[in-house]
Amino acid sequence: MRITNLAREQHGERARVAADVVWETIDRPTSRIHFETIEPFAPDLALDPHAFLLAAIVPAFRAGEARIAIDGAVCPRLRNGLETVMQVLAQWYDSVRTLPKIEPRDGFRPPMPCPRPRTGMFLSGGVDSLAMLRCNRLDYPMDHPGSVRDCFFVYGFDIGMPGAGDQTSFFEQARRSLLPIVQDAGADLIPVHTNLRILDPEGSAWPDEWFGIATASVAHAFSGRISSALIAASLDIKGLVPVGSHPFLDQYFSSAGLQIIHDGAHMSRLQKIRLVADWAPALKSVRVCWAGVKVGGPLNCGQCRKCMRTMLGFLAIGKLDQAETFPVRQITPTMLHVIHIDNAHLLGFSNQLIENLRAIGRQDLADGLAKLNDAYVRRSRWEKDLGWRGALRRFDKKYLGGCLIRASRVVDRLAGRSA
Amino acid sequence: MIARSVHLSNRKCGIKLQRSERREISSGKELEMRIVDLRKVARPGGARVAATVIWEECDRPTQEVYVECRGPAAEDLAPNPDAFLLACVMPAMEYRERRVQIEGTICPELRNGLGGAFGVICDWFPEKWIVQTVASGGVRPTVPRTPSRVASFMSAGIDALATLRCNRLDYPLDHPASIQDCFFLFGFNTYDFSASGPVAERLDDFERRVARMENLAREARINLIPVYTNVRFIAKDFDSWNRRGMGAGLASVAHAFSARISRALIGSSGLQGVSPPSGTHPLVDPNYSSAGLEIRQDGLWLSRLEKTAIVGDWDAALAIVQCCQQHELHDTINCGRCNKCFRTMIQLAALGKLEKTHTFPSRAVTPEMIHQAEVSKKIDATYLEQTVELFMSVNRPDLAQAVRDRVARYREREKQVPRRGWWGAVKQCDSRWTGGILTRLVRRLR
Repeated sequence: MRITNLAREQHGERARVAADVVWETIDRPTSRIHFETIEPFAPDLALDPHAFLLAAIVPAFRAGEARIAIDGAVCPRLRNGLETVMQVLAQWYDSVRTLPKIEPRDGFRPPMPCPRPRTGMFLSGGVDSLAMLRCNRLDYPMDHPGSVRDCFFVYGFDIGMPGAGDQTSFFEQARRSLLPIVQDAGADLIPVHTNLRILDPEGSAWPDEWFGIATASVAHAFSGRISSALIAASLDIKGLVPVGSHPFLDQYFSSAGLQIIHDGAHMSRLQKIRLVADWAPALKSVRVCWAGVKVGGPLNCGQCRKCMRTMLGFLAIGKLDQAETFPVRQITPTMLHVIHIDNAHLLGFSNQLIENLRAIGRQDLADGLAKLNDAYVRRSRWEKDLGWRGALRRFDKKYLGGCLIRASRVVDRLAGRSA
Repeated sequence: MIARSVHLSNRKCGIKLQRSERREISSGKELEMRIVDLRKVARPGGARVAATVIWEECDRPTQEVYVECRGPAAEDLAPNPDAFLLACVMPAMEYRERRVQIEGTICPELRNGLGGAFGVICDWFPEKWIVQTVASGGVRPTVPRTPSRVASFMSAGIDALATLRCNRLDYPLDHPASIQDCFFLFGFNTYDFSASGPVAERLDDFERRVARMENLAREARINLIPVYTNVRFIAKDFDSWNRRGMGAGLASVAHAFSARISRALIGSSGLQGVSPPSGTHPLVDPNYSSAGLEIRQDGLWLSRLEKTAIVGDWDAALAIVQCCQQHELHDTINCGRCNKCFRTMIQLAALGKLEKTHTFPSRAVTPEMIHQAEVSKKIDATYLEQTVELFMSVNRPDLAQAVRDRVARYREREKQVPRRGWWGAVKQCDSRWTGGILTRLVRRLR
């Protein structure tokens, strides 16, 4: 892969930095990827090769590109970090992929950090990022270099993802809803447009490998403005599963000039929901939904699994009626069918919800969630060959060649037919 | 109310409380370690920062925990509560203290980070629990020093030397990310202290090592700062230190120098990717950072063999490399007989560098040595296996074969050790509760 023609451009009212991504190993047309922002922040948009390298490395890694040649210099800290990250991804996903060799035209050279330290963060309007901003405000005085001064709101990640069509109007609606929050927090809201997801049109890399590194690429596009960028943890550290933004990975997207910090993993989801609920502007604008994009409509659909989980959280702490961005006020057990528990992190959150829902007398919802939990635990034990069933299955596989399991499937099928 | 919350948090961590503990909780007595009297005192040629640790739950006498150094760096030594909190919080967990109370203010970044570190540790070791931390002065974020300044920990082992060398190769000396200080620690080795205090013989060894390091420090243009501490000996035992406490212990020393540095690097262990649970781990160590001081593991992208190659290409390092933790030999520094020595010698031999170093009693590796090498863990096998290709490339098929045989022997043994099923459960119970009597009996009968 080659990343060339790095240039500063103007796109309508927005300033843009862009680069061509030329594929070498696979047969794909050249893509021009960009980062854009509006006028007051345009001078701080940096033509930083790191931004493009980070944007392209996961698609290159997945496509089996042997190298990434890039115009400009690359920081040795970032090179080392990316090597680490690719090793970890390969380890997690049992991959035989090899790391593309990074070949910067101007060699490996560490950039200098901003002379005046300044912290930025990514604000999507979801629970994680709102809780992170709130936590930062509670912990740091405004004049501390660790106090968040800039909030980046990105078009092209969830809103405006490839294939979703033009969602700029909804983006604008969501941006406006965030303004009271950042005003209350005393920070700047910086809208950023990027099309970097066109490098993986199927979108398969995004959740598992790419979204942390892609988020960091946006931060590097503002390396002239900030010296550290916070990415909100999506997972509680106690229920870690391999995912694209992870406390292990995100720190390695740093360069000598810009530090990337994965923040908030010490908090459980319910703790985060409490923080958001206790902050009035955030409670009025929280947006967790990726499904209900409808201009002029509510920010959340109130029906998808993300909405349902968050609404249950607000309900469990007695704040659902004040969460105006959710169109639903009453949750019934039948609505729980959208929730799918498929990892230890969600199981942990669900357990917390059950405890709190019972405390407020919503046994019906607690029981419904408990059933979902049980189903997950059973499935998980089955997959991991645990318990006496697991022992029996191992015995069957080892000594009986899988006879028992085949027999049980036949019995199940016959029983299904007769039913 | 307190009793209820403590009970709930313990239940969540899967810990069944003893009757006596339940009684104490229900009586409202809070079980906490207290860290008081944080102070800085002058010492001949330097200074010491210390705090008094009062144990409540466990039967340990009140202790003094200290960090000491000599020379100009002593001016920057400060009785930072973050440092003493880190020194004591993991031992508090090991001794089942429920809370650590400390005088002064702690950084919110560290408080949050400790939450993260405990989260990971409780995931790895479900029998452990989260220790609450309370600072008498509340929380206040520390401010990083300007200009920023980087230090690393130096043990003269392969990981630490490779960290320094990589840094020198990657950064110009005037870059803020360039290492300027190296902390050289006395007190982190198992044999450094006895019940009565520092072992005189080990102190002599240490002073010799410091003298030996001068050449390297001059060449690498670092300030070598010898630091004397008993942080390691607050820990419960070697196992708890090695598996959970070491990272926090190292970070505590760095925090004592937070007026001097803004980042401290810990050399990684040479296992690339996500390594198994360990006392110093890339997922845990960054959690010991504060707003003013970043703690980071360095060198994760390098395998141990790659690190050994980097050190092997640096003559000043090759002249002083010390992987051995035994009492050092006058002529050769390393004993050449322990597992760590064997491992390093084999790797240096594979790289063709063993004959160039004088720090080992033997300049050559034989197949017999490889057969004798202790391979008790997967890590040992990984380190050893990395040398096969190199031995082949330098036309030493005998050594390559010896490595293959040794690793195969380890794997064969691993297969025979049942990890699951009823026999595995019996073995686990046996090793845990009856000291392995049953296993030994069966072995003898066989």
